[in-house]
Amino acid sequence: MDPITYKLPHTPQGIQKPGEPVKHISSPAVTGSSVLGIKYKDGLMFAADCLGSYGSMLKFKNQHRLHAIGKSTVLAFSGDVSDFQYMQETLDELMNSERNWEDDQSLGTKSIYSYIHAIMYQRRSKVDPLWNSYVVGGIEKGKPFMGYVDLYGTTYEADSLATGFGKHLAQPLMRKALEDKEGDLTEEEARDVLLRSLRVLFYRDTRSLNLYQIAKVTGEGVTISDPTHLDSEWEFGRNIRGYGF
Amino acid sequence: MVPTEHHGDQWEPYVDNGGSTLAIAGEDFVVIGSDTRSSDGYNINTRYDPKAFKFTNNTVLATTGYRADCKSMAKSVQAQITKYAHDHGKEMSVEAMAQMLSIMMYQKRFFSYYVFPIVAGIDKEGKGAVYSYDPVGNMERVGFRAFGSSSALLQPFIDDQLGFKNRADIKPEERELHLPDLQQAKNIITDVFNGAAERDIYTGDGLQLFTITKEGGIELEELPLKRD
Amino acid sequence: MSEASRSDYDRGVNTFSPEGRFYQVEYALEAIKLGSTAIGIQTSEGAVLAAEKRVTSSLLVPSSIEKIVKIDDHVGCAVAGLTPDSRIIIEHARGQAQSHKFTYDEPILVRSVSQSVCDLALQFGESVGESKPKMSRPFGVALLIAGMDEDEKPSLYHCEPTGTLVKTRLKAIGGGQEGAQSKLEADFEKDYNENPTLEQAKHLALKVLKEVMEDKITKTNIELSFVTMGEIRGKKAPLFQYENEEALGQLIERIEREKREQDALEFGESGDRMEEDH
Repeated sequence: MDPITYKLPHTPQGIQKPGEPVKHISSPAVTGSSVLGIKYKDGLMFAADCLGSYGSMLKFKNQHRLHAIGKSTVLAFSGDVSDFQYMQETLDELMNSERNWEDDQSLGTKSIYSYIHAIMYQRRSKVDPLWNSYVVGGIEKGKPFMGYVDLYGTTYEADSLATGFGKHLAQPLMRKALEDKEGDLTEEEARDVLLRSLRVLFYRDTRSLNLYQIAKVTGEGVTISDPTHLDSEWEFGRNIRGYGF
Repeated sequence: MVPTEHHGDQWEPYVDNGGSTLAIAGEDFVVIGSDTRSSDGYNINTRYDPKAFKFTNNTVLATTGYRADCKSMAKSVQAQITKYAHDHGKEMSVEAMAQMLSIMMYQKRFFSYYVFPIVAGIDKEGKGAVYSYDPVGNMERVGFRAFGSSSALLQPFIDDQLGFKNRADIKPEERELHLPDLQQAKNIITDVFNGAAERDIYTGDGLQLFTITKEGGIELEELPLKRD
Repeated sequence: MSEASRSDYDRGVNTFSPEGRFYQVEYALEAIKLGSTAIGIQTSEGAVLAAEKRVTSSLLVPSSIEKIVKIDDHVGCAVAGLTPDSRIIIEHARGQAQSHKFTYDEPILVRSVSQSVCDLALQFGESVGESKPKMSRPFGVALLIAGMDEDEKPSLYHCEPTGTLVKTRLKAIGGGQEGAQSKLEADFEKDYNENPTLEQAKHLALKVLKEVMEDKITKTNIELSFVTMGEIRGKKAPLFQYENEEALGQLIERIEREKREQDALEFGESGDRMEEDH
C-alpha cells in the first residue's frame, strides 16, 4: 500500500536537473488574503484581516498586513508573507539610506510605489516573481495617492483598490459607496464600507479571519489600529434545514 | 489568456489587460483613439489607465496588451527620445521614432514585450503617419489601424469605410482620393469606440482622442464611454 | 620656458605642465603640420574639400594615397597629419553613421558624426579598470568634415587632436595651413564677397592649394570632392562625391592659365614700374 502523503504548500514542484536552466518558481507558503484601500475626505483608509494561512490551515492568527513606510505611506500586502518580509527589508534599507542624507527629506508615496513596482517588474522579468499583490497609498504634497502593484508588475491607480477575493467582493461595494457620494466619503462612511467589505469577505472567503486592522493616512500621518474583532452574524444558520439536519 | 494560476512549475509572466486603440492618418493630420479601461479577466482594475501618450511635439504612442510591458517600453522610448534630443540638437521625427521602436522591440525578440503599439505623427513631408507593430517589432506604415481587444470588431469596419476593401463603388487603389477629413476621422473613432464599448467587455469607461496636426501640434479630448 | 621644465612634463599623457599646458597634445598639433595640406570651403549650395597628395616616388601609385574619404552618402572628410591614425577615426565615424541610419532610418547629422569623432580624440592614455583607450597617445591628425543634412544646409567642421570641434566656413589644415588660411580668407572676401558658388569654391580651393604645394599641381597629386544636392537611388538627396577626372583637369588647366596670365600682367606691370622708377 502506498504511504499516505500530504502535499504542503511549499512542496517542490520539480527537481532541478544538472545542466538545466535554473527554475525559480516556488509556490507561496504562508499567505495573506485580501487587502482593501479607499480614498476619503481626509486621506486614505486601508483594511486587512490578521490571518497568515498555511494552505488551508489558519496558521498565524495575528499576522499584521498593513505597514507604515516612512511618515505618510501605508503598504498593504496579500500573498506570500516571506516575500513581503523581503520587500519590507528592502524598503527599510532604502528609507534608511535616504534618511542618512540628513537633509530632512524623505521619499514620497509615489516614489515608494515606483520603487516597489521596479522590484516587482524586475523579478517577474527574471521569471522569479515575488508572490504578492500590494496596495500602496499615502499623502504626498497634500494630495492623496493610491496604487496597486502585483507579481506581474501590473500597476494601476484608482480611488478604491483591492487584492485577491476583495477584487470580486469588496470592489463593487467600495465603488458604489464612492459613486453614491461622488468620491467624497467621510471617515465614518469609509470605515463603514471597509468593515462591510471585510464582513462579506469573512463570510465568503475561506482564507479569511474575523480579526482585522484598519490603517489611516491623513495630513497628520499614519495610524494603524490594533487587531480588532469583527462582528458577524451566523444565527441564521439555525433555521437552515436540509443537508441531513 | 488570464494566467493567474500557476500550473506545476510553469508560470506565465504575461497578462492581457485588454483595451483598444485606433489610429487614422489623413492628408495632413492623424487622429488616434484609445479607451482608458484596464482589466484582468472579469475584473476591471481601474477605469482610468491611459494607453496613449505624447512623446514629442508631433508624436503619440498608443499601446495595448500587457500594461506592465507597455509602461516599461514607453519609459525606454521616452528616455531614448530625450537622449536623441540632447545628442543631435533636434526633436526626433515620427519616422525615426518608428524605426527606433521596431529595433528596441526586436532586441527583446526572445523575451518579447507583450504589446501592440501604434505610433502616430506628422512625417517630414507634413503627411499623417501611422506605424503599427507586432510584439517582436515587425513594423508597417499604414493608413489606419485598430489594435487590442476590440481589433476584430474595429479593423474590418475601417477596412470597409477607409480602405474601401471589397466594395463595388470605390476601389482600394483609389483610397488616396477619398481620404477622410479631420472631422470625419474623429467621428469614426468616437462612433466605433461606442460600438466597441457596447460589445467588448474589455473596452470602455473613457475615450482619449488625440489629434495631431502640423500647425496645431497635439490636442487631447477625453470623452465618456459605457462603464458596464 | 626652459628646456628642462619642458622635458619634465612632455612625456606623460596624463600630466599637465605647471603652466597648464599639455605637451603631447601640442606635439600632436605639430605632427599635423608635417603632412600635406587640405582645404575646406562651405558655400550656401554645398561644401568643398581639396587635399594635396605627396607622391614621393614615381613608382608610387598615386591613387593608393587617400586623403579624402567618404563617411556616409552625405558626409566625407579630408585628413592631414599622420594619415594612418585617421583610419581608426574614420572607421568609428562610419560606424556611427551606419548605426544611426539603422536605428533611426535617417542620415546622421553632420554635427553629430563630427562630434562623435571629437569624442574619440580624448580616448587616449593608459587603461584604467574597465576603460580601454583606443590609443596610448593623442591622434596625430586633424580632420575637415564636410556634409549636408536633410534640411539641405551644408556644413563644414574642423576637428583636432585637442578634441575641439569647430564649425567653420573656410579652413586649411596640414603643412601649408598658415599660408593657405590667409590666402583663402583674403580671396574669399576680395573675389567672392564671402559668397562663392560651389564651382567658385572648387576653383578657390585648388588655386590656394596650388600656391602652397611644392610639387606642380596635377590631376593625380590632388583630390577634390564636394557635397551638394544630388541623386541617390532615384531620389533627390544630399550627396558627397569626388570631382570627376575631366572636370578636375579643366579646373587645373584654368588655374594654370590664369596664373600664366597674371604672371604676364605682373611682369608687365613691374616692367612699367621699373621704367617709372628710373
